[in-house]
Amino acid sequence: MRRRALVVLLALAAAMPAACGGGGTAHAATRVIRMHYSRYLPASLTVKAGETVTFDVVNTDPIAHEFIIGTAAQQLAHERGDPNDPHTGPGEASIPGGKTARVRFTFPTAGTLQYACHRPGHYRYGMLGTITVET
Amino acid sequence: MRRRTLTAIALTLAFLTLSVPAFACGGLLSPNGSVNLVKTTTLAGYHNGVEHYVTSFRFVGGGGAKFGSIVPLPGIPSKVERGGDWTLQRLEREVNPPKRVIGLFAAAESAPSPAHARILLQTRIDALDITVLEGGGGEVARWAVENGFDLPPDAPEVLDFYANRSPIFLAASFDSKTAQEQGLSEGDGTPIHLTIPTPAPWVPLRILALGKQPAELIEADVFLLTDRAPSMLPGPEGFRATDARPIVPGMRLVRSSRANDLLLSDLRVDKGMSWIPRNMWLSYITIGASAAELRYDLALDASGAGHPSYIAAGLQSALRRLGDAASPGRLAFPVILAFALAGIGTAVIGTRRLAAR
Repeated sequence: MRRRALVVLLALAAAMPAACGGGGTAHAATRVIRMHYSRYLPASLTVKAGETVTFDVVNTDPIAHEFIIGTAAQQLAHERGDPNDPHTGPGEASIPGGKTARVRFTFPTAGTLQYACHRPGHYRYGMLGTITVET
Repeated sequence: MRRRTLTAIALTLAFLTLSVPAFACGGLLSPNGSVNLVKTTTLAGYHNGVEHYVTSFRFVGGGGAKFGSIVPLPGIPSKVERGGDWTLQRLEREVNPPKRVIGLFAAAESAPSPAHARILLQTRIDALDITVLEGGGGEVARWAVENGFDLPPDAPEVLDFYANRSPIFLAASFDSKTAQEQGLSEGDGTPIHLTIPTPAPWVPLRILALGKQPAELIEADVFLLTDRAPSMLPGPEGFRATDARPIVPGMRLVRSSRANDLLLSDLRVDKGMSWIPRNMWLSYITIGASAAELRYDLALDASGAGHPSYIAAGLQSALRRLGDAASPGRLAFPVILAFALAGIGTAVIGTRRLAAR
C-alpha cells in the first residue's frame, strides 16, 4: 500500500512540470490566445524559426471571430476577399462565440507575421496581433 | 374636441408639407457591420417617476436583409406603443423653426446563456418587430446573433457597459416584407413610445456610436421635458453646474427654458402624449461628438436635489478605477483626467488602425 502511494506520488511529481507549463518543449510550443472585446490577448508574441506552435484560441466574446496567421500582405488579401470564406487552411480558424479552437502552425523562416480577424469590420476595429519569428 | 381635431389636422398638414428628417435610434445593426449615418432624435420626458422615451426607427431598405437596432433602457417598460405622429417633428420645429412655413405654423398656432436573455415582451408595431430583453451583455448579444442580427466588433464591450447598470434592452427590427407591403420607403420612420417607471432616468448616448469608427461624427438631437430644470451628468457645454462635474465636449445645451403653452398643447394632443402636465421644462441638447468621445450617457435629476447618478451616466467604472467613490465634486477632476486619458488612448488606437489599413 505504502509502495503504491509512493509510485503515485512519483508519477504526479513527474507529471507536474508539464501540467503547469513549467518548461520543456510542450511549454514552448503551446500558446493560449484569448479573444475579448474583439481584441487579442496577448497582442504580440515571439516564436523561433522552424518551430511548430499549437495555439489554443479562446473566444470569450459572444460573437464569432477568426484567427488567421499570415503576412501583412496576406491579411490585406483576406480583408478584400470573400467574407464567407470558412478559413480552414493552415494557420486559420473561424471560432464561434464562446468556443475554443486549436490551430497548429510551423513558422519556417524569420520575419514578422500577423494574426487577425477578417469578420466584417473587425480588422479595421483593430483585431490583429503581431508574431515576431526569430532565428 | 373640435379644437383638438383642428390642431391635429393643421399639424399633420404642416409636417407633411415639410421635409421630414430621417430618424433612427439606438445602435443600428446591419449586415456586414455596415454603418448608416443618420441623425437621431429622441424625447425623454420625465414626470411622476416615469420616463417617456420617444424615438423613431428608420427603415433602411429591404432586399431580404435584416436590419435592426438595440436600445439599452433604464428599466422595464410598462408599455411599448406606437409613438405619436408628430411629437419628434414638433420638437424639432420648436428649436429649428423653418422660416418658409411661418404662415402655416401661424395657422397651427391659432388652432390647438450559457444563460439566455429573458424575453420580457414581444410586440409588433407596423413593420417593426420589438422585443424587450433582460440579460447580461453576452446573453443579449447571443440572443441577437441567434435572431439574425450581425453585431459589430464593439458590441460585446458596449453591451457589457450597459448591462452592468441595467440589464434591460430593446431590440427592434424591420420585417422587410411587411415594410414593403405597407409601402414603407427607405428613410421612413416608425415612432415608438416607451413608458418606463424608473427612479433614475437616463438617456442612452454611447449606444449611438455602436459600429462606428473612432473618428466618425455622431449627431443627435435630445429633447428633455421635465417638471423643473434638470440637473445633468455629464454636463453639456452651456450647462451651469454648481459643482465641478465633468463638462464633455460634443454635447451642447442649446435651450433650457420653460416649455411654452403652445408646444405643450400641440404635444399633448398627439397619440400617447396626454401624460404631459400643464407646466414642463424644455431642454434641447445637441450631440456632435466623435464615436471615440461618446463614451457616456446622459443622467438626469429632475427632483431639484441636483445629484444625477454617476452610475446612470456610465461614469461608475471611471470612478472605480480611480479608487474613490466619494463626493461627485471631489471626483470631478479625476473623471475629467480619465476622459482625457481615454481620449488620448483612443486617438492613438485610431492612428494605429489607420496605419494598419
